[in-house]
Amino acid sequence: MSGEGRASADAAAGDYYEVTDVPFPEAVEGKVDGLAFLPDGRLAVACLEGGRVILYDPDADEWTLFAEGLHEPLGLVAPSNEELVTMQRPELTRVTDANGDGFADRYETVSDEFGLSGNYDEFGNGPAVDGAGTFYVTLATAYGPPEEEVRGELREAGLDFVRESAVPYRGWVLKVTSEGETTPWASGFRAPNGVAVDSEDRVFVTDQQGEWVGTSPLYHIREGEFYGFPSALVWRDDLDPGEMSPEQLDALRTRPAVEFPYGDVAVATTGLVEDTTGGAFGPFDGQLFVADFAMPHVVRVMLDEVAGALQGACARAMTHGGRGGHRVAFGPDGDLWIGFTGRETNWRGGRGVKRISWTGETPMAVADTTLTRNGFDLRFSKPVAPETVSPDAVECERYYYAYSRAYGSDKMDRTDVSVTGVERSDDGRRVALSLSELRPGYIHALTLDGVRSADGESLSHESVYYTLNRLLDGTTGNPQFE
Amino acid sequence: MDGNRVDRRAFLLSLSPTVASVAGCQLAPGDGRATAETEPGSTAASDTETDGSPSPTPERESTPAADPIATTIPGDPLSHLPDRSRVIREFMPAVGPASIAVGFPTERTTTPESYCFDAGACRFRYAWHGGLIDIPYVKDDGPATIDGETYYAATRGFPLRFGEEGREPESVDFRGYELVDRLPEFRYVADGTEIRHYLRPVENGPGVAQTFRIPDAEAPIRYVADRNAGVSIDASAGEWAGDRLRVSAAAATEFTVTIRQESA
Repeated sequence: MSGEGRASADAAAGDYYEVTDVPFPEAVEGKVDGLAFLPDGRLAVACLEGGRVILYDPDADEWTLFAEGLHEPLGLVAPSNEELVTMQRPELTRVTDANGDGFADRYETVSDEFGLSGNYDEFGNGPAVDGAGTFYVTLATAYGPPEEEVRGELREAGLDFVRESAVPYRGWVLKVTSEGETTPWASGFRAPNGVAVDSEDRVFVTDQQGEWVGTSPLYHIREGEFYGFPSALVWRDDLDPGEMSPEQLDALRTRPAVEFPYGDVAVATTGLVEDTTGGAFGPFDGQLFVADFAMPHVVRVMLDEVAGALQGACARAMTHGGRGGHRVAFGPDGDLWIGFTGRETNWRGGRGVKRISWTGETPMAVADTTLTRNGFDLRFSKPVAPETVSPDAVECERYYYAYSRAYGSDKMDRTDVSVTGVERSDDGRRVALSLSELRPGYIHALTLDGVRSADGESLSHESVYYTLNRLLDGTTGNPQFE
Repeated sequence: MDGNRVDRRAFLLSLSPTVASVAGCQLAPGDGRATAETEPGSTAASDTETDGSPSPTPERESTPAADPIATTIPGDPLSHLPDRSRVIREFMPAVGPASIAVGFPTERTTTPESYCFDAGACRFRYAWHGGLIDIPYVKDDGPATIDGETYYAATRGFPLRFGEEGREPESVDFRGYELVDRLPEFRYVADGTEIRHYLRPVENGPGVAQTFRIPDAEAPIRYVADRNAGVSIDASAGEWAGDRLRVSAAAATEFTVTIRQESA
């Protein structure tokens, strides 16, 4: 039942969204590592080769070179038309065109208060910026020993783990004020490729399936918390992660707000962005859209605050048809722009930039999913045909992903859950599902094959996957260790 | 956050592109995991690395040896800046991981000349002539390789000493750089003392003229020279005592140390 994404379903999305290849300058390798819109509407694109930042004027269809020589800039924000802030490997840097000739001439270190071992996998991602102008960046762990010269303190203890954290704060999220004051803010990340701040100043990070990460997650980041990847704890002086059992690590960790089922929704999640278009991108205003390296679509996140914590559902969303999806940004016109970064390795994705535009036709979709006392309340983008709403029209399966040193996890304890009732609201926009049982600690995968809109349309994506960490009363569950 | 320092002068002086590549070689390749592409929808959870990064693979495409900083972006290349420096932050051989390769504007030198500045240790590390660098951009292919012949390497740590006792700074903090006359001027702080460090090519080079500006010096500054064979070192101010140049606090507001390869 998790094989959603049949060609017919994805093809339907094409009626509602158009995908356009943005013409990319021939002289630039289009391995896109950063996307941000300037206040004047131009798009800034950070590229791997040459460490360039190039600017695209959509009105003039013209590219210009703004900066060069950055060391793998993996994100951008644009405080002004003359100034970008980017996370490159060695530092968070403010890049400014101070003399107004269109080409950056000032590269100021905002923060380099973290270590570099010289290992290739120690990517630095971001920044995301909150309403106060504070930056958040993520530091990936290593995949191998340090080079002969490192930057920062070398802790041998950090070498005793799969994916090392031998120099400061690998596997952490850093908070950096605009003046450069740097705080190691949260720990326990493996390869946290995406970071975003939403309009409520909530910080979100995506990580990627692998050791200790059963499937790619979305984390809601809060200060001081640990999110599960052990080597990062080397930089917590109150703990000795080398002596901690998986059960102890599990007890310490904060679970993902949302897990993206591997292969069904995502494989390796990357950049993410909140839909702040006010409806210019369709009926999903306020939700997060997440890119993925291996999937030809973006992923949509429906957050649900339950008992004081965020959890929620995810679903496949618009198909762009590309591979190597890396960075996403909404343009001033409400289009979702996606940068791709295929590399000469196993990630042979596409390159360049695509834009997804809403045609104005509303797709039939589960627009939101919220937990109830005995099931889920589904809000639809269009009224549901009454005759298509029945317990037989909905399937539910639950499973969990194991937390262990192993590389990824199978779906564990897969169990069908009976749908015992459906109740359609008078306006047809809502359907309340009752389940025979709700078990915290499990993903609940809902597939709505039979549901149609009042005008006869099937769902553009018929499955949603709810990460049920907590019941409404705050009850949690832990099927792996309880 | 200074790096661990390693004396590699002997190595660097014989640095060739081939040797540099070997010296910079990083990891034992791979971790044994398969590297096949993952098909969307696949549920093979453990057969593909998913760290969102280029990953170990036995199959390597050769990276195009094209100019890493091509300027031919249709619409506006840097036609208005034809002789800019090339300032490239990249993993460089035999230095710290936060290093910068700088190629002088080719219009200002007889042959292409370049140098490496270490933004972790905040110091000039070595210089070469012949070309710039080749960057692999592929995991396990190691750092950039130097395209040319290294003629000078500074291996004695941070070159400036402070106070009457001539102490080496305990901490250095890189603040960035700004293009001044199209050349980068590096800015850093050593034990609270702000330093601007501007490097430019010399006439009759290869060579590098390093201008230090230390406007807040309160005591004499010492510059510790690393006298490589075949290279002359001269200063615009101060007095030499062996390898140490003593510069008064007043003169430290701006002084220049010039390194030049002597003609054969």
